[in-house]
Amino acid sequence: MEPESSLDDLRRLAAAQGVAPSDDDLEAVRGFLDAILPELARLERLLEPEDEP
Amino acid sequence: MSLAALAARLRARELSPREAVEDYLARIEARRELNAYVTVRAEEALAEAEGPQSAPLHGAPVAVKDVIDVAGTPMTAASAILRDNVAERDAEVVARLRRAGAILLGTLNLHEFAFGALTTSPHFGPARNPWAPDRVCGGSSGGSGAAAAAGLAAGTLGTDTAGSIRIPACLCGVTGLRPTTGLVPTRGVFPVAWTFDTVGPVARSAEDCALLLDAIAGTRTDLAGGVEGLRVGVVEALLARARPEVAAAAEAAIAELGRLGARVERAEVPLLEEAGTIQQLQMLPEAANAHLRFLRTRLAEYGPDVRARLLAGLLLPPTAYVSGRRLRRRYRAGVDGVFERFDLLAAPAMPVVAPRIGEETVELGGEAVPYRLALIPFNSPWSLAGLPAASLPCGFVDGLPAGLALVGRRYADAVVLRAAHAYQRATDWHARRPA
Repeated sequence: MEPESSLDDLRRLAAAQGVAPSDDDLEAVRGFLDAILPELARLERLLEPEDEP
Repeated sequence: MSLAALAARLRARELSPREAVEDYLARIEARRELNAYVTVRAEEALAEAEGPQSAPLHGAPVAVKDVIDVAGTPMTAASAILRDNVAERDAEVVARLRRAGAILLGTLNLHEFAFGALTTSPHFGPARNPWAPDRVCGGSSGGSGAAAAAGLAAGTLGTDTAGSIRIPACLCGVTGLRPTTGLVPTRGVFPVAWTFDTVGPVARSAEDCALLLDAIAGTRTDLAGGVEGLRVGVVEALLARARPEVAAAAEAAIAELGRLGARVERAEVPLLEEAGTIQQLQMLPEAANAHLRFLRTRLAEYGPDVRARLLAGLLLPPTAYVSGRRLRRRYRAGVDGVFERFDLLAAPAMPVVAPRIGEETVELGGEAVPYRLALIPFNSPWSLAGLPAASLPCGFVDGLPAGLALVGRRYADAVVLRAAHAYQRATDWHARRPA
Protein backbone atom coordinates (compact mmCIF):
# COMPACT_ATOMS: atom_id res chain seq x y z
CA MET A 1 0.00 0.00 0.00
CA GLU A 2 1.34 3.43 -0.89
CA PRO A 3 1.45 6.07 1.82
CA GLU A 4 -1.17 8.17 0.03
CA SER A 5 -4.08 5.78 0.59
CA SER A 6 -7.33 6.85 -1.05
CA LEU A 7 -10.52 6.80 0.96
CA ASP A 8 -12.10 4.53 -1.64
CA ASP A 9 -9.27 2.01 -1.28
CA LEU A 10 -9.69 2.03 2.48
CA ARG A 11 -13.48 1.78 2.24
CA ARG A 12 -13.20 -1.25 -0.06
CA LEU A 13 -10.68 -2.91 2.26
CA ALA A 14 -12.96 -2.33 5.25
CA ALA A 15 -16.00 -3.58 3.34
CA ALA A 16 -14.16 -6.76 2.39
CA GLN A 17 -13.87 -7.41 6.13
CA GLY A 18 -17.52 -6.60 6.78
CA VAL A 19 -16.95 -3.15 8.29
CA ALA A 20 -18.54 0.09 7.05
CA PRO A 21 -16.68 3.16 8.40
CA SER A 22 -17.77 6.75 7.75
CA ASP A 23 -15.68 9.17 5.71
CA ASP A 24 -14.59 10.88 8.93
CA ASP A 25 -13.40 7.53 10.29
CA LEU A 26 -11.49 6.84 7.10
CA GLU A 27 -9.88 10.26 7.11
CA ALA A 28 -8.55 9.57 10.60
CA VAL A 29 -7.21 6.19 9.51
CA ARG A 30 -5.61 7.67 6.42
CA GLY A 31 -3.76 10.19 8.56
CA PHE A 32 -2.45 7.39 10.74
CA LEU A 33 -1.44 5.22 7.80
CA ASP A 34 0.28 8.09 6.04
CA ALA A 35 2.41 8.55 9.16
CA ILE A 36 3.19 4.93 9.97
CA LEU A 37 3.69 3.35 6.53
CA PRO A 38 6.84 5.32 5.65
CA GLU A 39 8.19 4.45 9.10
CA LEU A 40 7.34 0.80 8.46
CA ALA A 41 9.17 0.92 5.14
CA ARG A 42 12.24 2.32 6.90
CA LEU A 43 12.12 -0.35 9.59
CA GLU A 44 11.65 -3.17 7.07
CA ARG A 45 14.99 -2.20 5.57
CA LEU A 46 16.59 -3.17 8.89
CA LEU A 47 15.35 -6.75 8.57
CA GLU A 48 17.55 -9.58 7.39
CA PRO A 49 16.21 -12.79 5.83
CA GLU A 50 17.07 -14.68 9.02
CA ASP A 51 14.80 -12.39 11.09
CA GLU A 52 11.81 -14.69 11.39
CA PRO A 53 8.50 -13.76 13.00
CA MET B 1 -3.48 2.56 55.34
CA SER B 2 -1.38 0.29 53.16
CA LEU B 3 -2.64 -3.12 52.11
CA ALA B 4 0.17 -4.76 54.09
CA ALA B 5 -0.75 -2.82 57.26
CA LEU B 6 -4.47 -3.48 56.80
CA ALA B 7 -3.92 -7.21 56.27
CA ALA B 8 -1.80 -7.29 59.42
CA ARG B 9 -4.57 -5.60 61.44
CA LEU B 10 -7.17 -7.97 60.02
CA ARG B 11 -4.98 -10.96 60.83
CA ALA B 12 -4.53 -9.69 64.39
CA ARG B 13 -8.32 -9.18 64.63
CA GLU B 14 -7.82 -5.52 65.53
CA LEU B 15 -10.34 -4.84 62.77
CA SER B 16 -13.01 -7.05 61.24
CA PRO B 17 -13.42 -7.52 57.48
CA ARG B 18 -16.88 -5.99 57.77
CA GLU B 19 -15.48 -2.88 59.43
CA ALA B 20 -12.85 -2.63 56.71
CA VAL B 21 -15.45 -2.98 53.94
CA GLU B 22 -17.74 -0.41 55.59
CA ASP B 23 -14.82 2.01 55.90
CA TYR B 24 -13.94 1.73 52.22
CA LEU B 25 -17.57 1.97 51.12
CA ALA B 26 -17.87 5.21 53.10
CA ARG B 27 -14.71 6.55 51.43
CA ILE B 28 -16.00 5.62 47.99
CA GLU B 29 -19.27 7.39 48.69
CA ALA B 30 -17.44 10.47 50.00
CA ARG B 31 -15.29 10.71 46.85
CA ARG B 32 -17.88 9.89 44.20
CA GLU B 33 -16.77 12.96 42.24
CA LEU B 34 -13.54 11.14 41.37
CA ASN B 35 -15.59 8.66 39.33
CA ALA B 36 -13.04 5.96 40.11
CA TYR B 37 -15.57 3.13 40.19
CA VAL B 38 -17.92 1.88 37.50
CA THR B 39 -19.68 -0.61 39.79
CA VAL B 40 -19.57 -0.76 43.59
CA ARG B 41 -20.48 -4.21 44.98
CA ALA B 42 -21.62 -2.84 48.36
CA GLU B 43 -24.09 -5.57 49.34
CA GLU B 44 -21.99 -8.38 47.94
CA ALA B 45 -18.81 -7.14 49.62
CA LEU B 46 -20.55 -6.79 52.97
CA ALA B 47 -21.92 -10.31 52.65
CA GLU B 48 -18.52 -11.68 51.67
CA ALA B 49 -17.00 -9.96 54.71
CA GLU B 50 -19.13 -12.18 56.96
CA GLY B 51 -17.64 -15.39 55.59
CA PRO B 52 -14.40 -17.13 56.53
CA GLN B 53 -11.27 -15.26 55.43
CA SER B 54 -8.01 -16.74 54.28
CA ALA B 55 -4.37 -15.64 54.34
CA PRO B 56 -2.52 -13.55 53.41
CA LEU B 57 -5.12 -10.82 52.83
CA HIS B 58 -7.60 -11.85 55.59
CA GLY B 59 -10.56 -9.94 54.14
CA ALA B 60 -8.77 -6.86 52.79
CA PRO B 61 -11.05 -4.96 50.37
CA VAL B 62 -9.66 -4.58 46.85
CA ALA B 63 -11.02 -3.55 43.46
CA VAL B 64 -10.26 -4.47 39.86
CA LYS B 65 -10.34 -2.66 36.54
CA ASP B 66 -13.63 -3.05 34.70
CA VAL B 67 -12.24 -5.32 32.01
CA ILE B 68 -11.69 -8.08 34.57
CA ASP B 69 -14.63 -10.42 35.13
CA VAL B 70 -16.16 -10.60 38.59
CA ALA B 71 -18.97 -13.17 38.63
CA GLY B 72 -22.42 -11.59 38.72
CA THR B 73 -21.03 -8.07 38.28
CA PRO B 74 -21.26 -5.83 35.19
CA MET B 75 -18.11 -5.87 33.05
CA THR B 76 -18.56 -2.84 30.84
CA ALA B 77 -15.00 -1.97 29.76
CA ALA B 78 -16.32 1.61 30.16
CA SER B 79 -18.00 1.10 26.78
CA ALA B 80 -21.52 1.54 25.47
CA ILE B 81 -21.18 -1.79 23.68
CA LEU B 82 -20.76 -3.79 26.90
CA ARG B 83 -22.88 -1.53 29.12
CA ASP B 84 -25.34 -4.36 29.87
CA ASN B 85 -22.81 -7.19 29.99
CA VAL B 86 -22.66 -9.13 33.27
CA ALA B 87 -19.74 -11.50 33.93
CA GLU B 88 -20.79 -15.11 34.37
CA ARG B 89 -17.73 -16.21 36.31
CA ASP B 90 -14.63 -14.81 37.92
CA ALA B 91 -11.52 -14.09 35.90
CA GLU B 92 -8.65 -16.28 37.02
CA VAL B 93 -6.99 -13.34 38.79
CA VAL B 94 -10.21 -12.61 40.71
CA ALA B 95 -10.50 -16.26 41.74
CA ARG B 96 -6.93 -16.10 42.95
CA LEU B 97 -7.54 -12.85 44.85
CA ARG B 98 -10.49 -14.48 46.60
CA ARG B 99 -8.39 -17.53 47.50
CA ALA B 100 -5.82 -15.14 48.99
CA GLY B 101 -8.52 -13.64 51.21
CA ALA B 102 -9.45 -10.49 49.30
CA ILE B 103 -12.95 -9.05 49.20
CA LEU B 104 -13.99 -7.45 45.90
CA LEU B 105 -15.34 -3.94 46.42
CA GLY B 106 -16.15 -3.39 42.76
CA THR B 107 -14.86 -2.54 39.33
CA LEU B 108 -12.84 0.50 38.36
CA ASN B 109 -13.13 3.08 35.60
CA LEU B 110 -10.84 2.95 32.57
CA HIS B 111 -10.26 4.29 29.10
CA GLU B 112 -12.88 2.70 26.86
CA PHE B 113 -11.89 -0.93 26.19
CA ALA B 114 -8.50 -0.24 27.84
CA PHE B 115 -7.42 1.29 24.54
CA GLY B 116 -6.14 4.73 25.45
CA ALA B 117 -4.21 6.61 28.12
CA LEU B 118 -6.72 9.13 29.50
CA THR B 119 -9.66 7.38 31.23
CA THR B 120 -12.14 9.83 29.80
CA SER B 121 -14.81 7.42 28.58
CA PRO B 122 -17.52 9.23 26.63
CA HIS B 123 -19.96 6.70 28.07
CA PHE B 124 -19.01 6.62 31.77
CA GLY B 125 -17.26 9.98 32.22
CA PRO B 126 -13.70 10.82 33.20
CA ALA B 127 -11.97 9.50 36.28
CA ARG B 128 -10.52 12.49 38.09
CA ASN B 129 -7.03 12.73 39.51
CA PRO B 130 -7.16 12.85 43.34
CA TRP B 131 -4.25 15.32 43.34
CA ALA B 132 -6.12 17.77 41.10
CA PRO B 133 -9.65 16.81 40.05
CA ASP B 134 -9.46 18.92 36.89
CA ARG B 135 -6.69 16.63 35.65
CA VAL B 136 -6.72 13.15 34.14
CA CYS B 137 -5.66 10.02 35.99
CA GLY B 138 -3.89 8.63 32.97
CA GLY B 139 -4.92 5.30 31.62
CA SER B 140 -6.08 3.05 30.66
CA SER B 141 -6.31 1.86 34.30
CA GLY B 142 -7.17 5.36 35.51
CA GLY B 143 -9.75 4.25 38.05
CA SER B 144 -7.16 1.94 39.59
CA GLY B 145 -4.74 4.84 39.97
CA ALA B 146 -7.41 7.12 41.42
CA ALA B 147 -8.70 4.48 43.86
CA ALA B 148 -5.22 3.61 45.09
CA ALA B 149 -4.27 7.28 45.52
CA ALA B 150 -7.49 8.33 47.27
CA GLY B 151 -7.69 5.24 49.50
CA LEU B 152 -10.85 3.89 47.87
CA ALA B 153 -9.51 0.32 48.01
CA ALA B 154 -6.64 -1.27 49.90
CA GLY B 155 -5.18 -2.38 46.59
CA THR B 156 -6.26 -2.62 42.97
CA LEU B 157 -5.58 -4.51 39.77
CA GLY B 158 -5.11 -2.90 36.39
CA THR B 159 -4.08 -4.17 33.00
CA ASP B 160 -1.14 -3.05 30.89
CA THR B 161 -0.72 -3.59 27.17
CA ALA B 162 1.36 -0.53 26.33
CA GLY B 163 1.58 1.39 29.60
CA SER B 164 -1.90 1.16 31.10
CA ILE B 165 -0.70 0.34 34.62
CA ARG B 166 2.41 2.51 34.65
CA ILE B 167 0.80 5.67 33.27
CA PRO B 168 -1.96 6.02 35.91
CA ALA B 169 0.35 4.84 38.69
CA CYS B 170 2.75 7.62 37.75
CA LEU B 171 0.19 10.37 37.23
CA CYS B 172 -1.71 9.49 40.42
CA GLY B 173 1.37 9.15 42.64
CA VAL B 174 1.06 5.46 43.46
CA THR B 175 3.04 2.32 42.68
CA GLY B 176 2.21 0.01 39.78
CA LEU B 177 3.83 -3.03 38.26
CA ARG B 178 3.40 -4.33 34.74
CA PRO B 179 4.45 -7.95 35.33
CA THR B 180 6.47 -9.99 32.87
CA THR B 181 4.21 -10.85 29.95
CA GLY B 182 2.74 -14.29 30.60
CA LEU B 183 3.42 -14.36 34.35
CA VAL B 184 -0.18 -13.59 35.34
CA PRO B 185 -3.11 -15.40 33.69
CA THR B 186 -5.40 -13.26 31.55
CA ARG B 187 -8.38 -15.65 31.32
CA GLY B 188 -11.56 -13.66 31.95
CA VAL B 189 -9.96 -10.33 31.03
CA PHE B 190 -11.27 -8.52 27.95
CA PRO B 191 -8.27 -8.37 25.60
CA VAL B 192 -6.57 -5.41 23.99
CA ALA B 193 -3.79 -7.29 22.22
CA TRP B 194 -3.16 -10.84 23.35
CA THR B 195 0.59 -10.97 22.87
CA PHE B 196 1.14 -7.85 25.01
CA ASP B 197 -1.65 -7.97 27.61
CA THR B 198 -0.77 -8.25 31.29
CA VAL B 199 -2.66 -7.93 34.58
CA GLY B 200 -0.87 -6.34 37.52
CA PRO B 201 -1.13 -4.40 40.76
CA VAL B 202 -1.66 -0.69 41.33
CA ALA B 203 -1.33 0.13 45.03
CA ARG B 204 0.32 2.42 47.54
CA SER B 205 3.72 0.81 47.70
CA ALA B 206 5.99 -1.83 46.26
CA GLU B 207 5.27 -3.95 49.33
CA ASP B 208 1.54 -3.80 48.55
CA CYS B 209 2.20 -4.59 44.90
CA ALA B 210 4.22 -7.62 45.95
CA LEU B 211 1.33 -8.88 48.09
CA LEU B 212 -1.08 -8.53 45.16
CA LEU B 213 1.34 -10.00 42.62
CA ASP B 214 1.98 -13.03 44.80
CA ALA B 215 -1.78 -13.53 45.10
CA ILE B 216 -2.43 -13.44 41.34
CA ALA B 217 0.81 -14.94 40.01
CA GLY B 218 1.51 -17.57 42.64
CA THR B 219 4.97 -16.08 43.20
CA ARG B 220 6.67 -15.61 46.56
CA THR B 221 8.36 -12.25 46.27
CA ASP B 222 11.24 -11.67 48.68
CA LEU B 223 11.65 -7.93 49.23
CA ALA B 224 14.65 -8.27 51.52
CA GLY B 225 18.17 -7.57 50.34
CA GLY B 226 18.02 -4.01 49.02
CA VAL B 227 19.88 -2.84 45.95
CA GLU B 228 23.46 -3.37 47.13
CA GLY B 229 25.49 -4.47 44.14
CA LEU B 230 22.64 -4.31 41.63
CA ARG B 231 23.74 -2.84 38.30
CA VAL B 232 21.32 -0.10 37.28
CA GLY B 233 21.44 1.25 33.73
CA VAL B 234 20.15 4.80 33.28
CA VAL B 235 18.29 5.27 29.99
CA GLU B 236 19.54 8.77 29.30
CA ALA B 237 17.67 9.01 26.01
CA LEU B 238 14.43 9.03 28.02
CA LEU B 239 15.75 11.51 30.58
CA ALA B 240 16.49 13.82 27.67
CA ARG B 241 12.97 13.43 26.30
CA ALA B 242 11.20 14.26 29.57
CA ARG B 243 10.22 17.64 30.90
CA PRO B 244 13.35 18.90 32.74
CA GLU B 245 11.69 19.05 36.16
CA VAL B 246 10.37 15.50 35.74
CA ALA B 247 13.79 14.29 34.58
CA ALA B 248 15.37 15.94 37.60
CA ALA B 249 13.03 14.07 39.95
CA ALA B 250 13.92 10.78 38.26
CA GLU B 251 17.64 11.58 38.38
CA ALA B 252 17.39 12.31 42.11
CA ALA B 253 15.70 8.94 42.62
CA ILE B 254 18.40 7.17 40.63
CA ALA B 255 21.05 8.93 42.72
CA GLU B 256 19.28 7.62 45.82
CA LEU B 257 19.54 4.08 44.44
CA GLY B 258 23.26 4.76 44.06
CA ARG B 259 23.52 5.89 47.68
CA LEU B 260 21.76 2.67 48.69
CA GLY B 261 24.49 0.63 47.03
CA ALA B 262 23.43 0.16 43.41
CA ARG B 263 26.06 0.55 40.71
CA VAL B 264 24.64 3.16 38.37
CA GLU B 265 25.87 3.54 34.80
CA ARG B 266 24.58 4.93 31.54
CA ALA B 267 22.66 2.49 29.32
CA GLU B 268 21.76 2.60 25.65
CA VAL B 269 18.88 0.49 24.38
CA PRO B 270 19.05 -0.42 20.67
CA LEU B 271 16.01 0.60 18.60
CA LEU B 272 14.52 2.45 21.59
CA GLU B 273 13.12 5.16 19.30
CA GLU B 274 11.50 2.55 17.06
CA ALA B 275 9.90 0.44 19.81
CA GLY B 276 6.65 2.40 19.75
CA THR B 277 6.10 1.90 16.05
CA ILE B 278 7.03 -1.77 16.26
CA GLN B 279 4.48 -2.31 19.02
CA GLN B 280 1.77 -0.45 17.12
CA LEU B 281 2.30 -2.69 14.08
CA GLN B 282 1.18 -5.69 16.14
CA MET B 283 -1.01 -4.20 18.83
CA LEU B 284 -3.41 -2.45 16.47
CA PRO B 285 -4.20 -5.49 14.26
CA GLU B 286 -4.56 -7.73 17.32
CA ALA B 287 -6.98 -5.24 18.87
CA ALA B 288 -8.95 -4.97 15.62
CA ASN B 289 -9.18 -8.75 15.50
CA ALA B 290 -10.38 -8.93 19.12
CA HIS B 291 -13.10 -6.38 18.28
CA LEU B 292 -14.05 -7.66 14.83
CA ARG B 293 -17.59 -8.71 15.76
CA PHE B 294 -18.31 -5.27 17.23
CA LEU B 295 -16.60 -3.42 14.38
CA ARG B 296 -18.96 -5.21 12.00
CA THR B 297 -22.13 -4.63 13.96
CA ARG B 298 -21.75 -1.74 16.41
CA LEU B 299 -19.09 0.54 14.97
CA ALA B 300 -20.89 3.79 15.76
CA GLU B 301 -21.06 2.94 19.46
CA TYR B 302 -17.32 3.33 20.02
CA GLY B 303 -15.86 6.62 21.16
CA PRO B 304 -14.12 8.35 18.25
CA ASP B 305 -10.54 7.83 19.45
CA VAL B 306 -10.95 4.11 20.10
CA ARG B 307 -12.86 3.63 16.84
CA ALA B 308 -10.04 5.31 14.90
CA ARG B 309 -7.37 3.10 16.49
CA LEU B 310 -9.34 -0.08 15.88
CA LEU B 311 -9.97 0.85 12.24
CA ALA B 312 -6.28 1.61 11.82
CA GLY B 313 -5.57 -1.93 12.97
CA LEU B 314 -8.16 -3.28 10.56
CA LEU B 315 -6.67 -1.43 7.61
CA LEU B 316 -2.95 -1.86 8.13
CA PRO B 317 -1.53 -4.12 5.43
CA PRO B 318 -1.28 -7.75 6.64
CA THR B 319 2.45 -7.80 5.98
CA ALA B 320 2.85 -4.97 8.50
CA TYR B 321 1.88 -7.37 11.28
CA VAL B 322 4.45 -9.92 10.16
CA SER B 323 7.14 -7.26 9.83
CA GLY B 324 6.22 -6.13 13.32
CA ARG B 325 6.74 -9.63 14.67
CA ARG B 326 10.10 -9.93 12.96
CA LEU B 327 11.17 -6.52 14.26
CA ARG B 328 9.95 -7.44 17.75
CA ARG B 329 12.29 -10.43 17.84
CA ARG B 330 15.19 -8.29 16.73
CA TYR B 331 14.32 -5.65 19.33
CA ARG B 332 14.09 -8.22 22.12
CA ALA B 333 17.48 -9.65 21.22
CA GLY B 334 18.96 -6.16 21.53
CA VAL B 335 17.33 -5.60 24.92
CA ASP B 336 18.53 -9.00 26.14
CA GLY B 337 22.03 -7.82 25.28
CA VAL B 338 21.55 -4.74 27.45
CA PHE B 339 20.50 -6.93 30.36
CA GLU B 340 23.76 -8.84 30.14
CA ARG B 341 25.29 -5.66 31.58
CA PHE B 342 22.50 -4.58 33.91
CA ASP B 343 20.07 -5.99 36.45
CA LEU B 344 17.70 -3.05 36.12
CA LEU B 345 17.08 -0.14 33.81
CA ALA B 346 15.88 3.20 35.21
CA ALA B 347 14.20 6.16 33.52
CA PRO B 348 11.40 8.65 34.10
CA ALA B 349 8.14 6.68 34.14
CA MET B 350 6.43 9.43 32.12
CA PRO B 351 7.79 12.59 30.52
CA VAL B 352 5.16 14.88 32.05
CA VAL B 353 2.74 15.25 34.93
CA ALA B 354 -1.02 14.77 34.53
CA PRO B 355 -2.57 17.11 31.93
CA ARG B 356 -5.93 18.77 32.44
CA ILE B 357 -9.03 16.91 31.33
CA GLY B 358 -9.66 17.92 27.73
CA GLU B 359 -6.06 18.85 26.94
CA GLU B 360 -4.88 16.84 23.95
CA THR B 361 -1.27 18.02 23.91
CA VAL B 362 1.53 18.40 26.42
CA GLU B 363 4.50 20.74 26.19
CA LEU B 364 7.86 19.07 25.66
CA GLY B 365 10.98 20.84 24.51
CA GLY B 366 9.03 23.99 23.82
CA GLU B 367 6.63 22.22 21.48
CA ALA B 368 3.06 21.03 21.86
CA VAL B 369 3.17 17.24 21.47
CA PRO B 370 0.07 14.99 21.33
CA TYR B 371 -0.26 13.47 24.80
CA ARG B 372 -0.48 9.87 23.60
CA LEU B 373 2.53 10.20 21.33
CA ALA B 374 4.56 11.76 24.14
CA LEU B 375 3.96 8.73 26.34
CA ILE B 376 4.65 5.92 23.86
CA PRO B 377 8.48 6.07 24.02
CA PHE B 378 8.35 5.66 27.80
CA ASN B 379 6.12 2.59 27.71
CA SER B 380 6.42 0.58 24.52
CA PRO B 381 10.13 -0.24 24.89
CA TRP B 382 9.38 -2.36 27.95
CA SER B 383 6.01 -3.78 26.81
CA LEU B 384 7.50 -4.81 23.47
CA ALA B 385 10.20 -6.86 25.18
CA GLY B 386 7.74 -8.39 27.70
CA LEU B 387 9.71 -7.00 30.64
CA PRO B 388 8.49 -6.33 34.19
CA ALA B 389 8.30 -2.58 34.68
CA ALA B 390 7.27 -0.57 37.73
CA SER B 391 6.35 3.05 38.17
CA LEU B 392 6.95 4.49 41.62
CA PRO B 393 6.48 8.02 42.96
CA CYS B 394 9.73 10.02 43.05
CA GLY B 395 8.68 13.64 43.52
CA PHE B 396 6.28 16.40 42.59
CA VAL B 397 6.28 18.95 39.78
CA ASP B 398 3.75 21.79 39.99
CA GLY B 399 2.18 19.90 42.91
CA LEU B 400 1.58 16.82 40.77
CA PRO B 401 3.28 13.41 41.06
CA ALA B 402 6.24 12.37 38.94
CA GLY B 403 7.39 8.78 38.66
CA LEU B 404 10.49 6.62 38.28
CA ALA B 405 10.42 3.56 36.04
CA LEU B 406 12.38 0.49 37.08
CA VAL B 407 12.60 -2.28 34.48
CA GLY B 408 13.93 -5.78 34.99
CA ARG B 409 14.76 -8.92 33.05
CA ARG B 410 11.87 -11.15 32.03
CA TYR B 411 10.59 -13.03 35.12
CA ALA B 412 12.76 -10.90 37.41
CA ASP B 413 9.67 -9.11 38.72
CA ALA B 414 10.92 -9.68 42.27
CA VAL B 415 14.14 -7.77 41.56
CA VAL B 416 12.11 -4.80 40.32
CA LEU B 417 9.90 -4.86 43.40
CA ARG B 418 12.86 -5.37 45.74
CA ALA B 419 14.61 -2.29 44.34
CA ALA B 420 11.39 -0.28 44.49
CA HIS B 421 10.87 -1.37 48.10
CA ALA B 422 14.42 -0.39 49.03
CA TYR B 423 13.86 3.04 47.49
CA GLN B 424 10.56 3.44 49.33
CA ARG B 425 12.14 2.48 52.65
CA ALA B 426 14.63 5.30 52.15
CA THR B 427 12.16 7.94 50.89
CA ASP B 428 8.58 9.01 51.58
CA TRP B 429 7.24 10.08 48.19
CA HIS B 430 4.99 7.00 48.09
CA ALA B 431 3.56 7.84 51.52
CA ARG B 432 2.28 11.29 50.51
CA ARG B 433 -1.44 11.46 49.93
CA PRO B 434 -3.71 13.97 48.23
CA ALA B 435 -5.83 16.17 50.47
